[in-house]
Amino acid sequence: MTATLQRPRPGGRLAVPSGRRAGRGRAVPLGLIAPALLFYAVVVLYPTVAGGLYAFTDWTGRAGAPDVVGLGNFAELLSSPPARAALANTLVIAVCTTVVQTVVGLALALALHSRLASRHVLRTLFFAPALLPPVIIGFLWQYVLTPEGPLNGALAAAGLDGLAGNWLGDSALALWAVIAVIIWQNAGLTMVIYLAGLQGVPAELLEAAEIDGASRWQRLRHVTLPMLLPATTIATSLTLIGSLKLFDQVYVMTGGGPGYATETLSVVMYEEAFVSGRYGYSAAIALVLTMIVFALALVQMWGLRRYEVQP
Amino acid sequence: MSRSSVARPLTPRPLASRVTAALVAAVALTSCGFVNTDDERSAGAVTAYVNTEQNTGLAPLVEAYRQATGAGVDVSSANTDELNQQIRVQLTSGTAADVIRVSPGYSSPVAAGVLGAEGQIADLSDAEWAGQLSPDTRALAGVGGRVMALPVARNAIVMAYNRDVFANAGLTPPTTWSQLLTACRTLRDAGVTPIAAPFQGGIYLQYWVYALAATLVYAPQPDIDAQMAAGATSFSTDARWNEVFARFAELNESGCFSDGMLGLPPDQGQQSVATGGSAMLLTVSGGLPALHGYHEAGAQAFDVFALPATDDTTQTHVPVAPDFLAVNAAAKDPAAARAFLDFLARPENVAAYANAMGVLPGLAVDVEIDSTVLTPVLPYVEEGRTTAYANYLWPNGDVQQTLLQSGQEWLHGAIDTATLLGRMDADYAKGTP
Amino acid sequence: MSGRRGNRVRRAGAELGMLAVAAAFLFPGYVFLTVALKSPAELARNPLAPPVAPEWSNFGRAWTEGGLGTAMGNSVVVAALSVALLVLTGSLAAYALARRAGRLGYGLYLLFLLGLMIPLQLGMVPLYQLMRDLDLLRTYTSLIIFEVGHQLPLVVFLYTGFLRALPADYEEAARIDGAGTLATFRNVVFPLLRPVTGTVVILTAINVWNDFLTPLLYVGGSAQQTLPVAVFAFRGEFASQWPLIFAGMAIAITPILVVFFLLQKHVVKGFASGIKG
Repeated sequence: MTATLQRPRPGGRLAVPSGRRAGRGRAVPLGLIAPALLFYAVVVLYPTVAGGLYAFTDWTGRAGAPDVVGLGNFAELLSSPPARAALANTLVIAVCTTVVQTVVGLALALALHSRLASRHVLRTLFFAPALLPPVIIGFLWQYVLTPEGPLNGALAAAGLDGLAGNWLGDSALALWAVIAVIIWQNAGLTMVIYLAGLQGVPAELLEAAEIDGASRWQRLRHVTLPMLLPATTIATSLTLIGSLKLFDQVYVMTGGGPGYATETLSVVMYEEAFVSGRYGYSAAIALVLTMIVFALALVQMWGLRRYEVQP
Repeated sequence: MSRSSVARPLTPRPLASRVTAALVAAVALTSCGFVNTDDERSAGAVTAYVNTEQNTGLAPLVEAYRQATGAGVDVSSANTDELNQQIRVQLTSGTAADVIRVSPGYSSPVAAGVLGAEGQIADLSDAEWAGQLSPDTRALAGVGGRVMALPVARNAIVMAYNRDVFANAGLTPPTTWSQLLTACRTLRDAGVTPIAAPFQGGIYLQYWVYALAATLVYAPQPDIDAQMAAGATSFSTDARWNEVFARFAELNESGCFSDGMLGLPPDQGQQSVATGGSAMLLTVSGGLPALHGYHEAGAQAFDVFALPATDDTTQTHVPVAPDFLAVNAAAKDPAAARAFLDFLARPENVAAYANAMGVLPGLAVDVEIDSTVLTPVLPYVEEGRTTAYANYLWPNGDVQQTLLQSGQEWLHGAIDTATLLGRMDADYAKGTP
Repeated sequence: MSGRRGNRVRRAGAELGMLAVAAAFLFPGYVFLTVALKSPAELARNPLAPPVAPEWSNFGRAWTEGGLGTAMGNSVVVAALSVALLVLTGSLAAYALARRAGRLGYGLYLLFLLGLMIPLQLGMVPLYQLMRDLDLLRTYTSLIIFEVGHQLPLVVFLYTGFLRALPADYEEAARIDGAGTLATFRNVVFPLLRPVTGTVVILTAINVWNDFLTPLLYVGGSAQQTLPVAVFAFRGEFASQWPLIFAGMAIAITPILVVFFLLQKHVVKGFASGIKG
């Protein structure tokens, strides 16, 4: 997977032992892509282009041709306070979620890559939240995080009242609470990706390092982690893209509040389209979001690829 | 497929073929679901797409309609949020049901005023019942004085309270603003949160603005919307609108509301009144069944009163929201759709719906209401001391959205009243998209 | 000897430590189940403790009142056919994309990846109108076409990454023996893709199974509606029946949990082989 954007090489990276390349002359026909491309074009490409064109209009969802407003929607996006708050929050959520979820997922994977008797059950348990619909996760946590709700109740029961907070009602805490919920839901997915990556770390390499006197930490730092970089690329790509598009959990838990403390681009996009009926403006926000996702994904993949070791 | 598996040593197929067989069976069982056939829906039946609450209230009436006329009505439902989104897409695409739920005035992209102006819903002004809409309801039922939607019910914003908590504190329902403040102090001293304030998401926050505005803004100047639309006044410059927020702030500063109110979701607000942790909750009457459900004794444990906003009891008005059904202008058989609405508008059916749902009758007809849930506010309805929710005639949804979110910042003290009202004015000035 | 005992103690400590972490992690899951088993009145009075009188009937009520039996049948049909089509079309496409180093192949690969980044809402209305014009609304077909197109970018991403790490030796040998492209794919390549297919199946099955807004738009209110659509019918504007929603959701996720449990090894392996190269 060496970086998602690297050009493919026939035969992969593992050298063909004999060097024989007899079949090379007959390339795999590109026609095999046709069925997939057909579905993709019908469901994603055509509608996206057709819908994207509305970003340059003031369409409100009515039948008939809307007025073209050029870049007016984009100008409004940059000057509207909710949209600007949303832009900032979206970036904070994406960066924090990606970093912390990766660390948490890695830690879980390292812990469960061991010979713990309970590891199979624990893996399933940690992965379980990723199986639930995001809307349900939102409702569940909205309830858990209420001022007199289960979390504060549990903290009080444990004698930790001092840690209790108005998690979703305090504008200083709400964004972090949302981020924590997202990480809770998806850390299991990152863990599974890293568990898989750990299977690819040769035991001989670790043993050799141990014989050379490397400490546990040194083995982790200099042997295991570098070999996990491809896994990191996959895990962080999926997390980054998902958290930039974050909608359901925020919409359900806070509706973007208190105030605009947890507003995200997806929430503004939804409200403009379906609460205010401004489809054109909403499409402009969607286009901007797509460009941000694309740019950040490029930067992240490019950045990580530089550190990947060649096995 | 199963024969050739022998030739493929690398792909053991028993599991795959078993899965395939199961799938084929499942597909065969449900084969009618892959293409549209006309016999799937009972031919000629009127289709309706309504919200979850309306679906509950309509179910017995649909059955009664079928028995009375032999005509079926095919009702689907969704939560209001999703419903509004879908009906908008469906109307644009010409696939909407014959009878649809529309919001009042201009309060959403699928509101009676918006769709009426676009010609998406039928003019029902010549229906027999069109003369039975109360004036504040009529203003929200279409455009240009035309009636384009039937109110199947009306919801009121009322103050619900826990009877036991009031009794223990020796309180009776306050009828003036001063009494309300006194009651708050008494309850606070008794260790009870006077008023549950589930302002997370802002939905319950706006009810306060509408309820105070009913008495303070709309009762004394019913034409305020026309004045604001003409630019003669605004939220910022109108003294009465400023008064609304001053009163709201007064309650907040006197410690009447729940601690952590911005983190309290509606369900937990209802629960805290049900368990006696809080005494009162300003709620839409549609939320009362849920509140009642949180107490073993049900509706018996609670009662309601109209929120006072001044010390003159005769000024108190109650905000009332119609719950509309409209006929899709592109309905296959508009006459059949209208016949169903005419049936719903018969007095006995208006009463049946109101009684089943514990709501106010949609039409101003003289019917007997068995349900006692809203008895304390019925006199207001009968005397015409009702107003529409303030937001229904605001020109776009952004004004309300700003109230919900900037309103939270305002309660938190992050912005002052002038800033909040200024933002609402700015959104108001954007007009109807 | 003492070293081994030390090891055992340490391992027991680690075991307990991880169980403690898991318990904290699963606290919301406990809340989920207790809500599903309480009456509204008990939920209000007693939010945290286990239900005193568990309302098992919530599950039965959710099942019958929500029509979850039919909905589950629908979900199975939609998810199974969507996943089957995804595996088929996605693996074929990835085979060509991974084995073609040319500019066109690379460009097409990027085009698919772009699909991961595009917000769904952008094309919602045009796609809906297309389905209307094809007279496919209120059918499984519309939903399956949507899910396949919508999930393909993820599937292509996973399969292509895996295939690039796979040496082309076997397939080249098959081709030398005179096998055609499709025969090579069917007999050699696809069997080798097994581990990553496990990953593809579970991830796309979860996404398709839980999808809500598009199914509501396409098949809501029809006899073809899927599980989340049926469960969320318990939500209201002012009053939602939380115990029924949570009980219904518990029923709804059980099949997908079982699938994950059965495919667990494949999922981990699939990622492993996918990221090695």
